[in-house]
Amino acid sequence: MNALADPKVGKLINKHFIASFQRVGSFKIEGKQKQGGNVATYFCAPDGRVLNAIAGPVDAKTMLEEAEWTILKTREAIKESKGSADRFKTLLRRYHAERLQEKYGARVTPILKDQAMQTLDTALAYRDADGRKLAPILSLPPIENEGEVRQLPNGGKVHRLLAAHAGAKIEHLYGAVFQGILNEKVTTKPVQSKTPFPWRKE
Amino acid sequence: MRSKFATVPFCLLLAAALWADEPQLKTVERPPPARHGTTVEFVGTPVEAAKLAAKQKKLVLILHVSGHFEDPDFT
Repeated sequence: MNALADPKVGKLINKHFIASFQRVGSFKIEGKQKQGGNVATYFCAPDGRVLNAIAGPVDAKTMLEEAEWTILKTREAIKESKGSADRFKTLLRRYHAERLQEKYGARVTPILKDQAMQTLDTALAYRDADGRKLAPILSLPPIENEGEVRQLPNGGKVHRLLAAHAGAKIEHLYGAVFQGILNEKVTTKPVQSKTPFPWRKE
Repeated sequence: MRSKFATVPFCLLLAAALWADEPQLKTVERPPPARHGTTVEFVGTPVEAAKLAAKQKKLVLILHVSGHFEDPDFT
């Protein structure tokens, strides 16, 4: 949340985006300690198609960098695609593959055609604690120079995911980010507390 | 038969009541965006954000969180 407290971040976000939030996970309170919990940020088109994402909390510099990159590349893609939605999606995925290589040294071939549409009934899925399917598990493009790349940080993992799935709707992607990258359980359950009065001395 | 005729004046009364309230309904304004301790203005729901973004020709930023974003103790 520190990045969102930065005035420069607020100015840029408020100028170019309309912001909202959703609770997709929970955490536990034991005594006064919070256990678990995380945040993911999605930069989307008005129809919910994901343009870029950030997995986990980041500093203001990173938030600004990713927001500015999103704005710049969206404008480029709109101009180059000349009104074609397919071409726009293709360009977005190429940009993510390029950024993955420039910033993290990992080379992937962007997946430009979507796999055959699956529903939550047919696809592998992330499930909540009751076993209910919440979001599909998405395939990732293989890293072609795997031997040269150390463990990818979350930023690299996001670009790798979006090299195959940029332009997908947020409800299709969020499981792969929140659970696949951040290892947080997606859930609709409320905050779990060991005591209903965490402020009291035990 | 009796009940059917009884609903007609009831519906007319209801329609009249709604029509009388219409100027008040039209003046209800959307609540201002909340900042929740940040410098970013958040609207209530992603659907609302999408509608506003389309209208204002902006993009949409969605935060997915664990816990209750509105309460800093629960994020």
